[in-house]
Amino acid sequence: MTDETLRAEMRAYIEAHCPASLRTPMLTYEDRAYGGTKSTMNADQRAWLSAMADRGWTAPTWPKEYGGGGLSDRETGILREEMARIQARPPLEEYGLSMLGPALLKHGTEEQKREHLPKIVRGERRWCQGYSEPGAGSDLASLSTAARIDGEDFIVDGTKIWTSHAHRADWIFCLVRTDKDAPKHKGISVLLIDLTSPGVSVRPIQLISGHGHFCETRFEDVRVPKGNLLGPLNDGWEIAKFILVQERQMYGDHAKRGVEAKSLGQLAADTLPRDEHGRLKDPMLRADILRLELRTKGFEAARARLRAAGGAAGMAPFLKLYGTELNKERQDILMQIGGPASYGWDGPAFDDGQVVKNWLRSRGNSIEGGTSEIQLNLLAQRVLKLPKDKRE
Amino acid sequence: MNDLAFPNLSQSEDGASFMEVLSRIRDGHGAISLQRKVRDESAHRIATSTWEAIREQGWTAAILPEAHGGLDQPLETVILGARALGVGCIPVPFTTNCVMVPRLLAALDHGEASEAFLATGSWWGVDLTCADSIIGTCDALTGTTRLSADAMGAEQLVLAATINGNIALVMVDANAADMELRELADRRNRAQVRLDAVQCEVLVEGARAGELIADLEAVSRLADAAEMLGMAEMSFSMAIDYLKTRRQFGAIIGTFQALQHRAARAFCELECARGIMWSSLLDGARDLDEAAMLCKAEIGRIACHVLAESFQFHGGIAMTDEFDLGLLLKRVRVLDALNGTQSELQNRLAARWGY
Repeated sequence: MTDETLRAEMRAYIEAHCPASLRTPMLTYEDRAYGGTKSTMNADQRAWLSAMADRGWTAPTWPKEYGGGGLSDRETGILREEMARIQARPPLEEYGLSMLGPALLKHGTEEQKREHLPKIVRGERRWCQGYSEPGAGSDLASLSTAARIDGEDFIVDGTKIWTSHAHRADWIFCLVRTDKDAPKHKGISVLLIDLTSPGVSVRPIQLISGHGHFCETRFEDVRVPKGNLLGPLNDGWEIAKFILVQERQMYGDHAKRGVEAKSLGQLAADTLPRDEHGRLKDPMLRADILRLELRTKGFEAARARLRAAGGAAGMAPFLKLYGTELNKERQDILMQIGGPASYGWDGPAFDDGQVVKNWLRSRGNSIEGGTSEIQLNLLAQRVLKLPKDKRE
Repeated sequence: MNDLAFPNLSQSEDGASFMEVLSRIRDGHGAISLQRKVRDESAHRIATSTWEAIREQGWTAAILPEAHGGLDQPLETVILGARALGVGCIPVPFTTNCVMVPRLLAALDHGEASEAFLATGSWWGVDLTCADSIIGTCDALTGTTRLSADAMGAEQLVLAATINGNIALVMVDANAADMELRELADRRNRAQVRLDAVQCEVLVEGARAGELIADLEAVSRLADAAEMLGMAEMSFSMAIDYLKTRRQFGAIIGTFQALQHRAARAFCELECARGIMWSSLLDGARDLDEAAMLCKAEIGRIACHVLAESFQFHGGIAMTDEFDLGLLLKRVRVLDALNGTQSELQNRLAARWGY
């Protein structure tokens, strides 16, 4: 099939199946389609998810045998362009899709792939990520949640924190220590755990923004079948890092969200007073907006170049760092454009406090998924090859 | 120097090998110290033998059409050529003679002038900023320019002028002009040109001349941005080398996290600059004017920042004239300040985008 035939076919399918209500920017968490058995999705979201999953286009690059779309990167690019053309929302946004799936494809057993991938594609099983612990933040490899072998099972004990959306998820992919005598990067394994297993408890944590989707997830003598080990025993750190790369690429999209919605300049022009030349009356704000818009365009161009050059795996720290910091600055400027009303906390007069809550939530963007400082370490040492200091 | 190429440009294989030879000429002629030597020893502030090699390789003909003896290369070939020469801070009249003049002659479809241009033994000078000060008729053109690029030693001058009250681009025999070297901090070939009732050839006048001046401004902005990018890349690579070798407090200074983080941030900015350069060339055909303003404003900002950081990483040695960084710094700052400053271009972009 030529690109043009494919494009025409995709266009027709998307046009026919994307409900009008989903051709608008996503403003809140509720606007996103997360899938799984505990999430709330409206009828339009369900229909759109189902239509896209039928073609495997929720996971366009995954092989067809696991429910994916079997598309090349170029074909996926065409699909994205066609979706962007009508501002179609993603049919599914979920960590199984963005983080675990690629790792399953690379490291999973045939049985694991057949069990999990099709359910992810269809949004039937929602995943969360069990990485950080109260005592293991930036120093992730010092994690202490333990899994010991007992017959045909692992028995898991410990506490994970910042397990985003765990209270709405069905399963968790979890880093556990399977050999406590090995050096800290060794002796770590990846386990896939059903959150309905006895001994699992999930407690949402209230954030400064009022959002409560970050959780603490405790494991007390939780039995997990040995078959749920992803990759080799005691050698899970490489898989953990691979998943982190997927996560960082995903965070790089934060800035893009801003681009898809109205540009800051347009937003300001629509809402703020302007002089007789059409310029914003506040010259300092105008300059701040323009400079951020230029940097956003620069970042978008850099992303596009990396994509066109055939992948940017080593550059994930750049995407994560720059994308999240741009988003924080964008939120800062949105607060300035909104003026004092943007501090309104709730009620219809203040649009339920969306502006300030999004701003508060964005403070975490440069912390979650590896802090900006960790990304800078990675860039300095892995990309620029500057020598590492001696600290462990 | 740059880990990833600029994919998907229409640049042909010929263009790529063309660029390779240019890089060899650059490195073979002693970049970056060539700039210091030329500054101290050459009256015209141009590395003449390097320029001769570049001309012989066909760079002045690159974007001219085949019908006029040109090589019919796309614009991005010469823009990326400017980047390659920026890496070596090579003092040659490249932007004027490989980008602006051939771009103009191709647009005018002026075969005769193209032939004369390609046969030139030295180079041509260009000034687009003097329409208000160079005034007269084609038989008697009079006035003074301020900073005409590559005018010293030129055979012909291409100048913006007011002819019979109309804006125009004219060609003047450089021997008919009085001129005096007017160096800026980068110590390149710029001159004050004085014309006293000289004859000229009017290349184009009226609205079309205005359009062509805007077009030449745009392509020269792209070339300036490319040259600044090349210099920023060079300075950064010098800085990283230095961070990997310099020892203080009993350690390689590149192990210090304070410096690692600053280097990583500068790298991110440089990635954005490369992205903008690349996408401006991809998008060039769509809205050249806007792409060129964006490119020069943002790459100018980033190049100044990366140069400043590279300077600070090097410490005291960067302040010495015998070290190369100062040459890059001066050239970057001058390019950033001419042909549209950052704030000027930013202002225009905001207006263009409706705020």
